[in-house]
Amino acid sequence: MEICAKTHQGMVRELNEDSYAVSELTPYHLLIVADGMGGHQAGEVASAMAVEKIREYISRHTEESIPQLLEQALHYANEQIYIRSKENASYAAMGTTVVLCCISDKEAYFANVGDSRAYLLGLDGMEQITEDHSLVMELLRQGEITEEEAELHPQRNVITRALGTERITEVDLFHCELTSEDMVLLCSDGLTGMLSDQEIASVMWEASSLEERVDQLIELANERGGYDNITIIAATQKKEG
Amino acid sequence: MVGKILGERYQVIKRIGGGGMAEVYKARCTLLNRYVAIKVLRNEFRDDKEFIARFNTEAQAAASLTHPNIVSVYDVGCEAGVHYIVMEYVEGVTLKEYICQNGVLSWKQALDFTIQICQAIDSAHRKGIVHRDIKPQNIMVCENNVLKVMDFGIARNLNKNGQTQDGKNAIGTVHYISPEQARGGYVDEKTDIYSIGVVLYEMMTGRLPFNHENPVSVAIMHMQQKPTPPREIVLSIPAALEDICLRAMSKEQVQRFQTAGEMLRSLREFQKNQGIHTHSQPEEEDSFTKKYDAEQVRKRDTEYTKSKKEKGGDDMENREKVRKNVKKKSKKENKKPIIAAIVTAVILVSVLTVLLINWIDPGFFGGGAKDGITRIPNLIGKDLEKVLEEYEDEDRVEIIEEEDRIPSDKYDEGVIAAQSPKAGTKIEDNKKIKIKVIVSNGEKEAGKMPSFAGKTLTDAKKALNKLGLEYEVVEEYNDSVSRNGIIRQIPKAGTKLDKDVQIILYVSKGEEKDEEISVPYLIGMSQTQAKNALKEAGLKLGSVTVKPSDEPVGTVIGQDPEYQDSVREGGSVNIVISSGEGEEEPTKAPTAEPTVEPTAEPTAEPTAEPTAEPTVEPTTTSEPVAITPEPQTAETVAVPEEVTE
Repeated sequence: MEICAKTHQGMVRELNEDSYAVSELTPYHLLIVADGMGGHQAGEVASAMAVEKIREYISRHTEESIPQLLEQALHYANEQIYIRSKENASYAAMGTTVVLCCISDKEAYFANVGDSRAYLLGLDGMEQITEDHSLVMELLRQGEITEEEAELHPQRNVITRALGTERITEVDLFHCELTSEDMVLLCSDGLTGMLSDQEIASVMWEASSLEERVDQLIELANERGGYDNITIIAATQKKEG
Repeated sequence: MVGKILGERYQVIKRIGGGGMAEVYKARCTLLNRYVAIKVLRNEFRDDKEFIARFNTEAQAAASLTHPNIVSVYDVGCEAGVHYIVMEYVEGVTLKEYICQNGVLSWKQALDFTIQICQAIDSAHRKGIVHRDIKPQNIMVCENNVLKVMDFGIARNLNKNGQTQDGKNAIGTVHYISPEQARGGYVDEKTDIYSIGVVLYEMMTGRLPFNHENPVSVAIMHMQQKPTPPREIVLSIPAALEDICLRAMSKEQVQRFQTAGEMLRSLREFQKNQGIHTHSQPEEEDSFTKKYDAEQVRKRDTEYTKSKKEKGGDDMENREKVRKNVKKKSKKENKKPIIAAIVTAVILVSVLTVLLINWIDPGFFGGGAKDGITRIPNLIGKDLEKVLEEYEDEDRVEIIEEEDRIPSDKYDEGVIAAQSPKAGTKIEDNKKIKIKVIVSNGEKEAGKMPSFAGKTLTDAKKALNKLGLEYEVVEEYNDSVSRNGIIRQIPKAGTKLDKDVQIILYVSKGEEKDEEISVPYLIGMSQTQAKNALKEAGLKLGSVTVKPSDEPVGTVIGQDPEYQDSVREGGSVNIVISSGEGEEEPTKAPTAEPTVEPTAEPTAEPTAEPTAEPTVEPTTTSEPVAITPEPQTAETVAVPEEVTE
């Protein structure tokens, strides 16, 4: 398994409030991307806590089924962040998105809360696995607004689910089988807010190393303005070239 | 912050509230010796230039507004990185709290409140300031029911070139947002009108027009669903007030009132109308609209004087009406025939009165003195077909039948059972008359709403099922009504029951402290951490069991009840802690007597049973041993706390 994970502050923000982690969980790899929110470093704390608490839970509970394990891990992280936000006034209302993937040679499990995304790139194209829990995407999904309206919507930054903002949150889970050609991509909205799916796909299909492709995505997002922190994890079994 | 002095004059006394971006404190202005409220930008935003810009914009916008129904902004400052706004200190509760405490407001009070809100917003709109976030949480109810609107411009999402530069935000309340806000469209004064409409709706009916646990669904409802007409919830709401509310809540901006001023005029007009109604006698006319301009009155009275013997009675009645209509307070009319001169004099006075009223309030009676007033005819009890035929040739009058027919005990099928506006409602002469009618479907009514207050939910459910009525149950804490007792109901007892009326029963959950709490996740914590986590959640530490495991000494490896199980507030959670390295360890307190926790309510499960069940951790062969805590403290532990840290 080849994995490449990178984060960049972007061109506008003074802090990088994204967090990510890659860890081994034989026979799986665990990939996590979290995008924090809440002013003055609270977002950073929330996303870092999400990554830490999810890993902590998973390391202690290997015997559950994977979807159950991922779901419980996210609930646990949610509760821990929520409690912290209540304990400390400067962390009030902090929260974070999270997208994670538990990937082996044969399959991948995904879990997400918020608007960080997971994509699967196979021979037949690129597919978004997760659904964004954002006001605008949900309105779009339900056909209430057009793509055009979605792009100009002032509340594009409003997410409908997060870790840490409520005592209880809801987690989406996905599963898919993998072939040796498939590639998985996790990212924060600093990437998807700047580049279209087609643009991301065309970069990912280039014949260069995985790291070069990830670098190129970050570079492109920054060229477009880099309004937000950009975090990407890409994983594949395919040998480069 | 408390105890600090800001700007060398504001002594901070105590924290009184806070929102997402600021904390609010009560303070004393030592210079003017008065209380003020100070909104302090949260620390985490003090380096965020954009946030500070927004905070200052809000302050400047609000500071330019002076109105008795707006919370005044006195001063803006920044001291040692602390940004603050000094505002009028307002004693009272928010309108949200007020509604929660008082339930449904009478329509008269709702009208009064809405007029005050409109006055405030009108004054802001005149300065080009759109509030954008009108909701009962942003409106204070002060002494003598004076309302004050606050937080102008706070919710503004400055967005440049369609690109969101704001940080991510969790979704807030969407119960009062306009369809265009949900859609992300153009926001202007009419957005405020919509939100005022929603607030009026909530005050009159005690309900939000659109409610769902998922905020996105609520946003979508704002965009496409029609609200249940307020009169279907509370029958006593006047149709005209309902019309105002629903017009304000039109989905299309162009269909709403165009300014807060326009809405205000309509509300006042309605208020005045109501005022007249309360003074005047019950409406008696069955005949269609009569025109009462001065010219006609004079003609008719001349006629009267000429031929009083032929049609005296009839005309007498007409004249009576004329007087009632034009004079606000009619003195006792002389019922005997009177001579022409006196009649003329009375008419002259009447005409003058009309002129005077016109001069005072052109909004109500229309511009010119020539305009008379038309009264809406009574259609109730008449056959719809006949009515339609009758008014077929009347260009001014349009009869609109509501799609759904209603059951009625009084009227047969096809007969008009209700109309809006009411018979006798005054309409300016030059205006078109649209009368909505609801026709009976011939079915029997469900009768009157029974009273459920004091009954148990089970009894109420039985009664409602018998009547074939749908209902919704809302649980609330209540100190005086015991668990499962009905606290109140919507609609009120005695109101008419239609088949499709939505009934809400408010059921007591008992006293507030009985809240169920979700058990926190304790595995991996030290005992002290677990105890603190439980305390934070409103729970107590129960028994502590020591068990060998591979986890470090003192680490919590099991818990009962499990993570996210529900436990009554103050209930206890037993834990299993590791004795380290899988070895068996003698325990210090050999008693395994289960303790009975002094909980008020018996809990479903014994709280201090030794946990014999395997925990989530790999189980070992050793038997768990319970350590019984002292009844008054939970400090008795098997492993010293120092070791656990």
